[in-house]
Amino acid sequence: MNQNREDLEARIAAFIDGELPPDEAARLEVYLANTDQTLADQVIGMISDKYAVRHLPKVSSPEDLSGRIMEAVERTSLLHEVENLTPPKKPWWQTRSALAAGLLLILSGFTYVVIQSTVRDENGFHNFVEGRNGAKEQIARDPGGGELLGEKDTRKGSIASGDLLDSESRDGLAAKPGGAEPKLKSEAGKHAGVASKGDNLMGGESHGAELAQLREEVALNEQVLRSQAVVQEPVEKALKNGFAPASTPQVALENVKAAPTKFVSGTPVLINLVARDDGDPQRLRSFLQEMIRRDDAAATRQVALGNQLTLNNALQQNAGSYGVQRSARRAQNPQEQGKQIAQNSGGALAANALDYNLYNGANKDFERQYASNTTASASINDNSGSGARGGDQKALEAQTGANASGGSGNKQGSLQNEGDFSRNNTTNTLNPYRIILRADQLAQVTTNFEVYSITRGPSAYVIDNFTTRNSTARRDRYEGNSGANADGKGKIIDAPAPGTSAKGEQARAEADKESEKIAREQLEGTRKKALDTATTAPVTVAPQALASAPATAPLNKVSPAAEDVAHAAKEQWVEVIILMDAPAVPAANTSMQERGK
Amino acid sequence: MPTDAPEPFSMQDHQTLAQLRRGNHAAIEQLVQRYQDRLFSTVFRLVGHPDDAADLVQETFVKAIQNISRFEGKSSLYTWLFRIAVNLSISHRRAAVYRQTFTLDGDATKEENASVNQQAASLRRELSQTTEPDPAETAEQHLEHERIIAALARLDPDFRAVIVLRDIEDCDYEKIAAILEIPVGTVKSRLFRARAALRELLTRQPRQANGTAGNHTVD
Repeated sequence: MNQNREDLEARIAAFIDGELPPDEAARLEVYLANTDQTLADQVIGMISDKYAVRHLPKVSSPEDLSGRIMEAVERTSLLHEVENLTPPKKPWWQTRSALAAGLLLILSGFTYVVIQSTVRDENGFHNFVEGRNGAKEQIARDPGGGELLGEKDTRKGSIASGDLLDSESRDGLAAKPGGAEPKLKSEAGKHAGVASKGDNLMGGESHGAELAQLREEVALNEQVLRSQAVVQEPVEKALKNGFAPASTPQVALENVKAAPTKFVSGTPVLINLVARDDGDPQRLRSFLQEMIRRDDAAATRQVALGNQLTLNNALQQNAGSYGVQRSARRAQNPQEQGKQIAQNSGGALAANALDYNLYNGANKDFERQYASNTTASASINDNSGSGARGGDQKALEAQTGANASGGSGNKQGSLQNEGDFSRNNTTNTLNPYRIILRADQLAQVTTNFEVYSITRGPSAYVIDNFTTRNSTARRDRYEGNSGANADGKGKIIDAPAPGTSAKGEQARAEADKESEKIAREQLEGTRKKALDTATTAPVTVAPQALASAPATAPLNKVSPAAEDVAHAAKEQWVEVIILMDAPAVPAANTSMQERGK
Repeated sequence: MPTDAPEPFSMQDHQTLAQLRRGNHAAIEQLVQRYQDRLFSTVFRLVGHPDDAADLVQETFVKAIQNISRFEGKSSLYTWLFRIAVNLSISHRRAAVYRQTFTLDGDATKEENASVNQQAASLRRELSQTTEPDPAETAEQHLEHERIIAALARLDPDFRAVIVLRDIEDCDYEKIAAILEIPVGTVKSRLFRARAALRELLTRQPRQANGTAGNHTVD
């Protein structure tokens, strides 16, 4: 029905428009006329309306219409172009916020890792610190404990570490064995923020579980390290960082020649031990910690590790082991301490003096400085109360005979400790660990780590040929030293330290000359014996061969020697500076020993 | 379905379209010049107001240029432009009715009448500018035109569109179907109903021998 209606409507529309064929139009007219007159009348009206509408007047567009249209089109086109110029919307993961969030996440993870590793380190110190605190208490209970503190001793705590004393303080003591009063040049600014870290380092407790875990790690590390192949020594880099050999091969030769005479039995021996630990200082550090922790004589044998806790703590060990506290306590003032130190050819007393001072109130300051002493070396310009602190340096140098000889050669720059630490703390190219070990402990280090050289002092006074096992030469050499300091004829033979002042250079040059002279005299009787008694390798090499050695003579690989252990039983403490993460040595520099042969 | 027989796409349309797609300014201007009057006339009949018509024509061209890339060429440019214009006009009319319906003050009838009167007034102004100087005949024609225009103004936009396209623009069924996008049969039936509605409006709005359109209201 509807369809018919629509068809009819369509046909009527077409009829009105004249679009209907004539026959259909005729039929439609008949239909409309016969069936629906109203509709027929409506169609007639529609036809009329159609013509009326068609004849409505035409209207013209406004004159400005085209201009308006073109203006609108251009405006729109420009806007469209601008929209096209707008960079497309980035996906959410490319937005700045997403990138920032990603970076933040990465940084958070990195920070977490760093914190975790740091916490582990600090835990590793807990036992050490605990023992150290015990030592403090022991000393604090000593009624004579305060005697060492003079009026200037109140400032001793502001010194970061005794091993970092500048050259002036050392010179002061060397030149004034009677007890000089070096000036304090406090660099408090460099020690800012020490307290918190120091507290962390010193305030920990021993945790059995952590210790067990640490031991496991150490054992694992030891296994790994034992399995590691020997890597070439990091000579060049070590030398660049202050562990330079003697200024010339000739000096180095003379140093070697003189070496046996420079070691005094019963005194600390300063040895630079260049080791490699695959660039992971934590392994060696943990090893050393654990090794020391295992030591039964804990309280007095705690050894300082790391840059922050270095010589000062080590000196405490000296104090405990050598039992020289009483002599130090007798010191009434720094001058008196200085006298004692100057008179102490072994230098242990000086160390003890410092140690004692540390135990008498300066510890906290020291600890703060330790903690913040990332620039440890630069921090020590404070020589006030330096009888002790200067003494600790002297203690280190005593083995060279400097004190005994009046310190004439121990001028500025004779030690490079501060320079070394400064470099290491600023460049982080090397990771020095200055500790004091007994020789048997040193032997453990050399057993478990690839040790490339043992040198005397920062000036890299090379003692090579340590590859010899079961050699009596070393023992003889050590024993041969005994007379040097005892008779006061020991002499500094360090080469000039890089970066030292002209005055220091001059003084050192003078010292070198004098020491060479003395050394030659002493060697006349001792070197020959040492060379003759060497079984598998010479202690020293042919003078001509050494004379031709380059200035950058390599430091030879050192294997643990039985003599070390044997010597350790008799000798006590060895200060060791261990450098890690050093590059491989060039092949051309591999064997000074070979050249010697 | 939209169209039964799409209008063929001429060669001229091809050239124009190619130029338009390249952003040829001259082509755009040519397109405007070619179709603006016819579009304006149609749109004016659909919306009943010259200003609205001009705006809608302008919008028609803008939309056409903006969417020229979407033009597939299934119909002529003229048909495409008219489709845009008619759709815009219908939307405009429906929006106007919507606004009138929901005006808060006054009833819908008065609003609607006012709109019609406004359109009539516009037409009078238009006619006054274009009529021949024959006062008697011109006056009667004017009244008749006003009556028809007023009736157209009251038609449903869809009805109005088919009447304007068919009776004023003389478009055939196919083109109307293409413009309105409805089948040709629907165009015919819708045209019949639109004419019937117009007839009814004109029947209810008797001719007046005298009087002005300005006083005339459609009711």
